[in-house]
Amino acid sequence: MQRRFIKPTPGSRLFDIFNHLFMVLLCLAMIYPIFYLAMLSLTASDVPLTKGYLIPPHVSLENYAQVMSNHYIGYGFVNAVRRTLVGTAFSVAMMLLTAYPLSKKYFPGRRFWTGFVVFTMFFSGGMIPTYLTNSQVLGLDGSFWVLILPGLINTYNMLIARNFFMGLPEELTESGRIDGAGELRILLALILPVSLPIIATLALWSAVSHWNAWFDSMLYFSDPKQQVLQLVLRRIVLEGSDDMMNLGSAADEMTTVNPETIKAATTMVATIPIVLVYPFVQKYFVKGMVVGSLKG
Amino acid sequence: MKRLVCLLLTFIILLGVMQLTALAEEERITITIMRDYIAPPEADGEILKYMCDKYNVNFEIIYIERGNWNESISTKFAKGEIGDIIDVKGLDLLYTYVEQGLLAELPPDFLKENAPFLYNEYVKEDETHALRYTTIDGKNYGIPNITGNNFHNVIAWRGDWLTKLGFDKAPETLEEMEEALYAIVQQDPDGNGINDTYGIGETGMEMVYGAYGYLPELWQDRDGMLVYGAVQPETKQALTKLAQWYQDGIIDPEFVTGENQGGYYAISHSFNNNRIGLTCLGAYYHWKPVFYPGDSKSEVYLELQKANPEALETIMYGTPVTGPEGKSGMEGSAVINAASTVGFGIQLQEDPERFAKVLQVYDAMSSTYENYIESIFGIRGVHWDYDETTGFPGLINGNDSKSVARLGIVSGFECNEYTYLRAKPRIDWAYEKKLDVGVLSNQLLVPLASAADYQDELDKLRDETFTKIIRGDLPVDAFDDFVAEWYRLGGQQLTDEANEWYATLEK
Repeated sequence: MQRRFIKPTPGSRLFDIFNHLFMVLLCLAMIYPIFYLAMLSLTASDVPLTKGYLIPPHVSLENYAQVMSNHYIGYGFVNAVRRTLVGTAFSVAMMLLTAYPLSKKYFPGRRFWTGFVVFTMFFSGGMIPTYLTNSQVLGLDGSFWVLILPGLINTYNMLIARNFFMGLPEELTESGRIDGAGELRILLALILPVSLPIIATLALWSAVSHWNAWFDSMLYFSDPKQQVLQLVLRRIVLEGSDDMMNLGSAADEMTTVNPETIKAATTMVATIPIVLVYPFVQKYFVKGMVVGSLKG
Repeated sequence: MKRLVCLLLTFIILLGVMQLTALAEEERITITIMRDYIAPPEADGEILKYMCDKYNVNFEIIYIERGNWNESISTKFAKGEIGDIIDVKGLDLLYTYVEQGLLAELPPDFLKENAPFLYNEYVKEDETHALRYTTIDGKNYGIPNITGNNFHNVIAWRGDWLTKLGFDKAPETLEEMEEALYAIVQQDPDGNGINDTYGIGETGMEMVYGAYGYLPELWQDRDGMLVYGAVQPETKQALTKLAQWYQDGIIDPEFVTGENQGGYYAISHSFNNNRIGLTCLGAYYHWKPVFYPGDSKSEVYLELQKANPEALETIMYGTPVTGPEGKSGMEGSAVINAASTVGFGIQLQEDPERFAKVLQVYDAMSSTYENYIESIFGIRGVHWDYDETTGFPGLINGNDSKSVARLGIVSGFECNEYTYLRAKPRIDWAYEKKLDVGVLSNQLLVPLASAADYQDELDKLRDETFTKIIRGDLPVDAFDDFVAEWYRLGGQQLTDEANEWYATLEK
């Protein structure tokens, strides 16, 4: 006779209670900022902000209307979506193509090439040389591709993909080779179908970092219509913050600063699209765990 | 037939005009401006085009990102993009740019010849010669902006509380201030039966230091020498007082994190929410009412109107309190507005003709009131106009400072007379509240050579030590160790350098 569950002792019950309590607190700590921001973005303009209401007495969508009427939000949104889609597709493809050979023990010079790539994780050229290389040497200044090409391969993510490939049974490759498949065929027909979890992971990471990036857009583009959404957001949110006002001259006295509610609404508008991606990718994460556990 | 001839004639005339403008455009020189704007300007902005036509030049704006000035401008410099007119955000940057060979020398005589208005306004009238601030090794590299109105921050007392506690005016001496603050803390002025009011938060302390004569963040004159406020023995007296107040519950324990809890930086949450009875956060243009349509936005005033109208109506504006020896003071704006100094690209040095033209255009934009207003607001009748009743210029047709920035304003230099002309009610308000009384200014106006090596660490040491002393974590006598430490960690070097500079002024 086997009992499925061990009878809970008072100690383990106490442990469970605290466990749940901490989990709820942890969840609250993450949900509250989003909730706060959402409420702030719905606050009507006649509500004093220094009072700190949990739920605003007057709710309105006027902030969202104003955000949507912002001249650059539309351009920024289109640019950000374009960059995220194109950038993610190219990045994932290149990372897989780099990671797969590096995962093979028979790849000539494997150690050297891995070291070569890892080197870039620890040493970078610095901002100005990078900028000059991209804009002058590669001639990417002002081109859409400057957002995509320099960061095509994220070394860390690529190494994770490589480790994933190394974990796949060698027999999989051998079975393909027996049937006469070449390396590319093996990668496309055999390896990729079982690698969906790592592809989803790379895609998500890559998409999120593309969506959040703004610094490169600021450096390489001078036309405001080419800027990405996060840069537009950053400008709106930084308005009226102390360090910017200190730069100020007489002109700052007559500056119309967007109120906090507009900033909150802008943040929501810029954040929600990328958050919506998560549910679609999540099932692959679950699968990834299952796949991992089946290997023996 | 007649109609056809008419049409033909119009066509020919039109062609001719186009030809002419094309000719004129060929002769136009291009002036590039490196500047930050509240919103990035468009290359084909309506106002930019108008300004180009008016001055018969091609203005090209190289937008520098506001929140990332240094990264943004240094990458542009790196690829050789150097503007003709460069906004220099502080004198330390002026020195850096000159060192890097980015700025053209601007001899005073050359300025006088080509920009007589600016020269008279900024250089000659000032008896101490404003160009000395931009002069490095005997050569001038720019035009500094002199600030005309030197106001300190607002000193706002809760008038309703003071009245209730039997004070009929804002405290004027340190003793009266102490009396008022103790009353505020101990006698429950908000009448809610809970002992939840404090006297001051972070900003109320400044004038306590001032009452002893030296502000911890300023270089001030002491017997003809420049000294740093934080290490003066008077500051120890101020700290003794503040530590006592903290112990007695006068100072809000949250002073460490400040009175503003997010949002617009000049708004004091503690004051608006009946937590403290005195705040000095925010300048006059934050606290004044909105006087006329198009007046600058009074962030603090408008928020207080919504959050605590009763407090707003009864505010008593005070002056910096005087200490036992009759001293008083709060920090005002510096004599020169270092953040709006203008430099000129090195390429102009090789091309005096173009340099002259750049200066002439810049001069013209500032030389009459209307030209100046046009340069900051756009086209009269389209973007701005004088208000019918008050006569003050303001943006119209739904424009705000962001929309005109986007359309490409090319601001000239604002001389004090214009500030007064376009914003008289607001400046009168500041004088009425006596914000010009008891102003202390930083008398060190140049960056020190070693400041980059020591300043951050010294500031940190100062802030940590003072906070600990006020909170009672350290005895007041720890101040003496702090002074020794401050001099040892580079303060002596800074003091020497400051006085080396100060000595050159006296000549």
